[in-house]
Amino acid sequence: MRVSKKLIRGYLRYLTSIELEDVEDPLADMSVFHSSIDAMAHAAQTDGMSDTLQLSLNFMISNPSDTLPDFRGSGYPFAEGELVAILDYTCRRIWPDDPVSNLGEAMPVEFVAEADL
Amino acid sequence: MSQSDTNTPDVTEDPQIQAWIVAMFRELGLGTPQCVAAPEVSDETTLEEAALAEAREQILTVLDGLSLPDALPDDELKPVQDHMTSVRGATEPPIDGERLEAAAAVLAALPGQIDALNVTLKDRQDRIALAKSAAQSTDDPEHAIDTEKTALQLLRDADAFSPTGKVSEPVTVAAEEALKALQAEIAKVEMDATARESKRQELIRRVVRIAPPMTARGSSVLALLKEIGTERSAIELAITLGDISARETEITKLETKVQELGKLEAARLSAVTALDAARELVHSKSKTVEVFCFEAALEKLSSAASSVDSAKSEANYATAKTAIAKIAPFLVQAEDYYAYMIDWRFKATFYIGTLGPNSDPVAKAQRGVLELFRDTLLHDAGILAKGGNAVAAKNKLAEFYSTTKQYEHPDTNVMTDVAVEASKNTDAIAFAARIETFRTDSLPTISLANKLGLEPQTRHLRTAYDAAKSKGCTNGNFGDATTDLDALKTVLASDVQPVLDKFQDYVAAAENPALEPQITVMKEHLENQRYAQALAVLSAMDTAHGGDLKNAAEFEAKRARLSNSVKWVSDQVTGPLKASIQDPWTAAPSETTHLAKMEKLGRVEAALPGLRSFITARDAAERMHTRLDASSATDIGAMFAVLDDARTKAAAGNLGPATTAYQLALPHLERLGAYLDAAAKLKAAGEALPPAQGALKLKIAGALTQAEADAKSKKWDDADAKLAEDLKDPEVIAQAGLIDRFEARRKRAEAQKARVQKRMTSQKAKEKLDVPFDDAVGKSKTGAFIEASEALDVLQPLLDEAQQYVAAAMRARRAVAALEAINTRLRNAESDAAQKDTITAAIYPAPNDKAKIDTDMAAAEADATAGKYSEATVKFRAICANAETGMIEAASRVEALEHGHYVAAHGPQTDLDKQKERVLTGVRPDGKKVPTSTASKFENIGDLLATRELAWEQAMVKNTKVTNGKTTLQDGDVLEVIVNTDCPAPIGESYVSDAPRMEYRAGEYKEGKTFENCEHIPGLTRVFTKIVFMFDPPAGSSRRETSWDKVKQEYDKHSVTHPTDWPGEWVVHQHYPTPEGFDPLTGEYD
Repeated sequence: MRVSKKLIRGYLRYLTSIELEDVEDPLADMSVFHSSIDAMAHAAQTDGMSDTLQLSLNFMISNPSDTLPDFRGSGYPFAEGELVAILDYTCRRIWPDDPVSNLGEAMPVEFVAEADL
Repeated sequence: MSQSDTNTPDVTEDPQIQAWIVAMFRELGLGTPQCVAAPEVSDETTLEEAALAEAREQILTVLDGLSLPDALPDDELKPVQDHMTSVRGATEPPIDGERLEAAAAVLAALPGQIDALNVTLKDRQDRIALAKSAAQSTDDPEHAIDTEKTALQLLRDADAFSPTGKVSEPVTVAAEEALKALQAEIAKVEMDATARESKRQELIRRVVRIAPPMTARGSSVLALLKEIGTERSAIELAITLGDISARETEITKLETKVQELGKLEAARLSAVTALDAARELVHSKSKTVEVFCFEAALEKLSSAASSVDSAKSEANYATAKTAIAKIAPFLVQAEDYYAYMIDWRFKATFYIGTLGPNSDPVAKAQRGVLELFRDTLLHDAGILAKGGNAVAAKNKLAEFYSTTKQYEHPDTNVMTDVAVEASKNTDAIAFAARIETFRTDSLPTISLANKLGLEPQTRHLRTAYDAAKSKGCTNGNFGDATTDLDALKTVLASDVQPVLDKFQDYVAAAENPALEPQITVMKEHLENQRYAQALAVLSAMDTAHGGDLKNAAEFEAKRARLSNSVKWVSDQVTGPLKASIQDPWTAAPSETTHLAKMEKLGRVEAALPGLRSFITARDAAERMHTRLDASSATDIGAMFAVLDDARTKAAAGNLGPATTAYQLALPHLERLGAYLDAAAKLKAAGEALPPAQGALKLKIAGALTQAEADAKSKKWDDADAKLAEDLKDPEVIAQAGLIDRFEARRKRAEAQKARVQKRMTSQKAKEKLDVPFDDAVGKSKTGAFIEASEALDVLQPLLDEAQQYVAAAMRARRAVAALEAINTRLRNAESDAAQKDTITAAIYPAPNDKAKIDTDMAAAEADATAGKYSEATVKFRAICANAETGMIEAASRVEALEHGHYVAAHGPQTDLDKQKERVLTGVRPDGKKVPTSTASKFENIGDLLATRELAWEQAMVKNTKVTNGKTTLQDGDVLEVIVNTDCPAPIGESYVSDAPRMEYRAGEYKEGKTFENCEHIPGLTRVFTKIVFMFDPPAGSSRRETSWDKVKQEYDKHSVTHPTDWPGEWVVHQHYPTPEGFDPLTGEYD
């Protein structure tokens, strides 16, 4: 499935633009992401892109090394593992009844420029 | 002629003729003719004299009637004149009959002699006229130059062709010679012109073949192209062969320059390629080399990059390459060092641990000195590594195994040696290896238990593992520790794993109330290490429920796991292929038995990989096909039919054959793409060749036709070969190079023109840009690519000028609109009427009040409508500049209202170096440590405010709850809105992080939150804005929260009842130019 990189970047920006003051463990309190996760979910829902977002996040969690470098964002410099943990948490919060893909198991998604859709 | 036609009198009445006739009659003995009246004579003598007189008269009469061709030279007339003189002399007294008779004889010959002279004269005159006519009818040779034409005309106008004196033979010959000279000169001019034009064509060909390296810096290539164009013009305008030949030196210089640029470019590309490879290599090693070595590698990389950037000669690039070449070997050493260090640290720490517990004073003293020694070595090795000497660093660590350290014995206070012999302690090393094996083989069972939510019940397993490890590592009791580990390993494999395996089936149904009692019992058994009983409970659950619950859970779990894939695959295929997965998927829930249900799901699961492969192959092939079709002038589907077979098989539902057909089509499509590229290139070059290259054009057309036939038969090698021959032709290469360069520039110019025109309102202003662009394109279509490039040269400054105008206009309009919007916002936030006016007065300081700004805007727009871009730009910029004072005032007031920090952190007043520092150190320009991977700033306060207002408008559209001023939200409402604002021109710049700085934390190296380096990215045109809802604090509190969790906690903390409508206001939280998705090369976002 081909998904617009710009579209997903727009949603992920809710998380990746977060600025945190210097903390030892940015994942110590996941509740700081709640407002951003909810806003992201609302934006995707409004756009009718909730399914696409879910598939994309699952694919990112399943293939972090191949996908996340393109979506690191401009906020707090989360490490790959941290971002995976946040996305995993995000999926569980937005779609509590759906399983989150394990490493390498997600349905394939190809992130492309809008012109290549 | 009849007599009546003339006035000639009857001969018999003419006295002279009569005399002549009489004389003749007498001479012939015929007496006196009757027609002549006999003279009256008195006697014989008188008669004789009369006859002589008459003869004399007759001779004179005839003589006088003779005339000579005076145009002939005197010397040629003289013999006849002499004869005439002698005849006339014979008529002089005394008259003698014999003399007269002799004179008559001479006289009789004179008409013939005179006729001969006349013939001579006419012949000469004819020859001269012929020569003149021939001279006049000659044409100037083609390509004759003015001086040559003048010289030829002088020859045509030679005096020899219009002699004014006597028409002698030399004069006649001179005319003929003049004609020969003219003809010779014409031949010479023709030869010169041919030589000249031949030379001109030769030099033009040389010029055309001069192709600057495409990848060289644009300015260098452009300068060279201009020089080439200038040189070509000079050759075309040169008049003489000498002038043309003189250009040869310049061409040679150009060729040399291009060759040198080519060599330099090759050296640069080689260095850049090597640098890129080295950069990639270094970054790929970020996790496999020690952090100091990584820093050293980055330093080497940075140094090499600087060398490449500053290189100006091949030697410089060679030097840089030498430096780059040293990076890879260094990384090998660094990796070796890192692996050694990890192993060394483990062994050293492990060995130190075996010396005994801290409760043993001796062991504690020994441990202390060795830990210090270990850390000192690690530190020293780090310094060596940072200095780029990984080998020395490794050797430094190795000292741990060969050095004896002294420790102070706690009882005797005597300094005693302790040898570090970790590598010789075989028991310790063997135990370390055993732990590693346990981690790989057995620890996953403990992790699985945690994942299944059984961590509390299996915690004793983890404890047992830690105890065994401690027994060996801390106490040095390797034998017991190994025994414990082996026992634990057996328990995990034989007892725990089967329980977990069985329990996995129930995870999905674990919350079913019907199962809860059994699961609780099972967990108790597990916690108390009664694994067999735990397993028995799980088995009993199967029996008790006939497996139904588990089966249902298994079915639902599998269906849930497959659902996304099935949905996606179903969306991607049609017809029989879709049915192959949809039919069993839809039918599965309706099956009556678990086996049948699972069998249906099994069919779905089995079908998925094949369908995925099919979709992957199909999409790749169809995508490439679409791309090729879009870029080709012909319908490649109809012409080459590469995918017909695969499409037919797919439509028929033949999954495997269709997948294979698509996979097989891919290489054909790749070859087709290469063929289309080459054919298009050759075709364009052929069309662009000058008419003089007719033969080559024909040859190319033939090759294209033949190659197309081969391509249709998928004989790609044959098609390539046919094209390759002509593509190697120097003329084609030269033309193709010109075309490529022109096309690259045209595309850039077209894109820029489109961007600019999109933002123009005046049609007239738009047309001003179309004219030179169309001119360039028109010239390119006739093959005049140098001229077309020159037309682009004309267009470019216009485009730049227009771009500045649209940017300035947009910026000014937005700034003015933003200023007014903020004025309104600030006035609305203020309740005091007098204060409202004070605010407006501060934002619109005199003399630039609102009316003045409106007038200035109108004047600027008028200039733009008249196509005066530069003038409009100046005026719009002035408007912006004038508005800045008010904007700064407005920005500070707004930021204070919103409790924001975006002006302080990203405003134009911030130092660019501070933004860089933020990425490298995490410290924001306002002094707070808030690490980010990028740091940006606005270039202009107007842009900051204008984009802020635009963002606000967008946010209100996106989320209708966003409003200005105080408002309320209901529990669960969204609290954040993000919007991006695209600007027509750059509004900011940024620093973007490179590799994260590795940090040693909690016993391991990991990516830190600051960065080794960062890249400066100018020209950003997109602004990121996050608008958040800031809750009003509850009574007794001053904290303004931005999340539901926090605000509720704050209300609870102050014992305030949660309201139904939560009060607060929307504020701009983040607002900065964003580099996300920005490509610095194209200046565009993805």
